[in-house]
Amino acid sequence: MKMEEKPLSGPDNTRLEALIQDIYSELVEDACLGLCFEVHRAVKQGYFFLDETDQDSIKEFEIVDQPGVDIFGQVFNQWKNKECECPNCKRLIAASRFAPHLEKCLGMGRNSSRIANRRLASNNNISKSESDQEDNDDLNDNDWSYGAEKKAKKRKSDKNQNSPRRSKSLKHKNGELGTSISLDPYKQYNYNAGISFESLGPNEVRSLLTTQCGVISEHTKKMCT
Amino acid sequence: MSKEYQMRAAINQKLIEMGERERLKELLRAKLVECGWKDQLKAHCKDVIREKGLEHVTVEDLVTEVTPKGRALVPDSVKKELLQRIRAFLVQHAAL
Repeated sequence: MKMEEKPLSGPDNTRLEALIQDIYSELVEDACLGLCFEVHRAVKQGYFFLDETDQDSIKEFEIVDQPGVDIFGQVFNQWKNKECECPNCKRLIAASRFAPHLEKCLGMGRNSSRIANRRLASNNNISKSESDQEDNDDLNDNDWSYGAEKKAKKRKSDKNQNSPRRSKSLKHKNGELGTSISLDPYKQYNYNAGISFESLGPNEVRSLLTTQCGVISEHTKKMCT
Repeated sequence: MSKEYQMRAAINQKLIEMGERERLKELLRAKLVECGWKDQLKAHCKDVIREKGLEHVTVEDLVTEVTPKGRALVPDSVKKELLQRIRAFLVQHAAL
């Protein structure tokens, strides 16, 4: 856009400012006019005062501004101490614990199935201890679902330290799938706290160290695989 | 003076053609609703209407009563922001 007049910017900024102000005023006036037309139409069509017609309900739904109460007038933790009867076990449960209790009681919901799976898995492992790694494969697959792995990590101290499943899963993490069978006899030594090489004979030490790293951590006293 | 007028007309045309005027209008409207300006002014309209009588209110009445108050009630922050945007547009597009 070529202008023959002297430019708006530069030392004489007042013209630019005046122009800006004018544009702004036009916009504000447009907004006001818009509002006037809206109101006028509402008046002529009869719906302008519609929100004021019913005085009773205005009083009823007025905003409440008292301490201890929300804007509808309801108390915040009114239901906290109520108790509900569980339809399944017929016990009286506190209201805030009712939903989780129902989940466990009815056997539905994510957590209750996870807990059931874990219990099944650990029961199976206690009964069938070291033999037959392959048979435990299906159960061990539970390890690799996200939730079970999380639980496995969290509850490490709870689980049986000698359980073969535990050593097998740790071995998978280190990528040594091929050696699981050959190290059967050593499994129960491997991940105990406080292992030392003196307890193993020289042949055992040799075969152990040729397949695994064998460095014992200072903190955990566990052997690196 | 006509050169000034021409220039202003050209600027206004550019504002409209580039869609900036619409955007500014919408921006202003949204900000005015947000800050409660519209509700304030509506309440003022109610007073005017009750005064003039519901049946006899005309658009002109409303405009003359409402516009000056409306202009005055715009909050400073909104005004500043709009002036800033207009200035930015002019500086960028008006070959200054």
